[in-house]
Amino acid sequence: MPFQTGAAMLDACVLAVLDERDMYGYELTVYIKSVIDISENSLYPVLRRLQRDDCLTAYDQPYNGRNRRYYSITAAGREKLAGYRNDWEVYKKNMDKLMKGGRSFE
Amino acid sequence: MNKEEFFKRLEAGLTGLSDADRAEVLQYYMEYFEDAGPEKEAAVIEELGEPELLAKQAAEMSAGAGSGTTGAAREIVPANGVGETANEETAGAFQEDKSAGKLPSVFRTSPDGYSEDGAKGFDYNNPDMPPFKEIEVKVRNCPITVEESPDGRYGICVHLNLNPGGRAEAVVKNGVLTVKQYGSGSSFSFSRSVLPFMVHHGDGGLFNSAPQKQQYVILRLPKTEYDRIHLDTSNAAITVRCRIQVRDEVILDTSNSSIRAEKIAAGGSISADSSNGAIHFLRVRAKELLADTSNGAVTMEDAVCVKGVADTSNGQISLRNCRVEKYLKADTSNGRIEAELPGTEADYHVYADTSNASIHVNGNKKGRSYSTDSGKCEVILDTSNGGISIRYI
Repeated sequence: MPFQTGAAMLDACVLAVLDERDMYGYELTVYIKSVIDISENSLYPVLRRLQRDDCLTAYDQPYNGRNRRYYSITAAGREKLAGYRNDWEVYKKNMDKLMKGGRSFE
Repeated sequence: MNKEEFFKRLEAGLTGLSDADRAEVLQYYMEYFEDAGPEKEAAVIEELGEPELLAKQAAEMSAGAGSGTTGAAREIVPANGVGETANEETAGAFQEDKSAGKLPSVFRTSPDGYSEDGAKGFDYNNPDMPPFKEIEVKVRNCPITVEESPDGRYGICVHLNLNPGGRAEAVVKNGVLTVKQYGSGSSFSFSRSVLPFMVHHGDGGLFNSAPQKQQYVILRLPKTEYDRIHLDTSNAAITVRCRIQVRDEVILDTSNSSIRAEKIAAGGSISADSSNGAIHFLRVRAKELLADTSNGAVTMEDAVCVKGVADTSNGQISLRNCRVEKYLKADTSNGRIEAELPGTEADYHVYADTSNASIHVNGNKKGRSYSTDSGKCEVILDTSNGGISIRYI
């Protein structure tokens, strides 16, 4: 896929997935990878950034004698996600305009 | 490259970070490997790519403290900036979340509510607080106090100091009051997601006398019935002093500090768990009363329960005038046990044992072991280095 998934796109994806349910790092990565190609990116910086901006919180759950860190969306994260969804609709429409019928701008 | 090498190179790239940040990065990738499983080790190494690059990305995130998203993160946001404006607007004071229907379930405020000394926190007491039946508090290094409301209104007062990156929330949602602290250290940030009820500052409000810099959670509750109460902190005391009825259980959990519960009644259990602190139950009523500590005394006074258990290692246990239906147990190693049992010897089935001291029943010495098997209520008193005194009152 020639299109790159930028940082804001990754933020939006992670928020949207975590809006469904809490997940741990590996689970989240596998899930997102099953939909889009993010092979060039680790989600760690994304999770870290979203945590710093109060969009996510993390908590540990014991699993097989160790801890698994789960990530959970906050109210601020949901707000941010709503903004991204809005932006995405606009972006998608604009891209469609360009990709599907450039002549409408003539 | 194998896993060991991967981590060696990753760690080498993280030298500029603080110990905590470095540990967090390593933890994340360690967990990632573990979750993928050993059979995928090679694939994961392939997929993650150069450890130095991962380290660089992680370091950028840790260094970029403060708020806002770094330039790159905004790249696909269209020029109209919808997201940003929306955030600013909803951050205004007392924004209500109307999506839930009738009652506002989330309130928001601006950072103006922060106190002057720079500590972030709110005192609030809102007549329009949505009602809640369940209470869940999880904080750190912060005392929790639950009292009776003097005027039948809910009073919620939370004040926690913040570490950078610390977050918390205090919300009423679906009938549950949640006060929760996230992140490391004693941090509590009232971010946009937080519910600050009415802010009182120096106006003689309900919590005007509350200390400014210390952390605290104070809940003042009207005397209605609640479903469940769970209070969890560390290194700080929990005090519950109010005549409220809880349908299910009350859980009080701290470490290195005391727990005191008075007058509260629960249909299920009231359990208090500390490690180095005293536990005191006074005039409480519950199906089960459970007190567990290691280095501290346990006292149960004028309590009513079906089953009562007091467990410590280095501390005295006092059971005074507790009306127990079926089972009462006191277990310590280095401490005295004093039991004042209402009724007569015939009401109890007692088994008392000490290893290195003596037992007295109504003032009469009985040796190191004493038992009766007449009554319905079983009482077990067990210590190693301490005397046992039983009085029927």
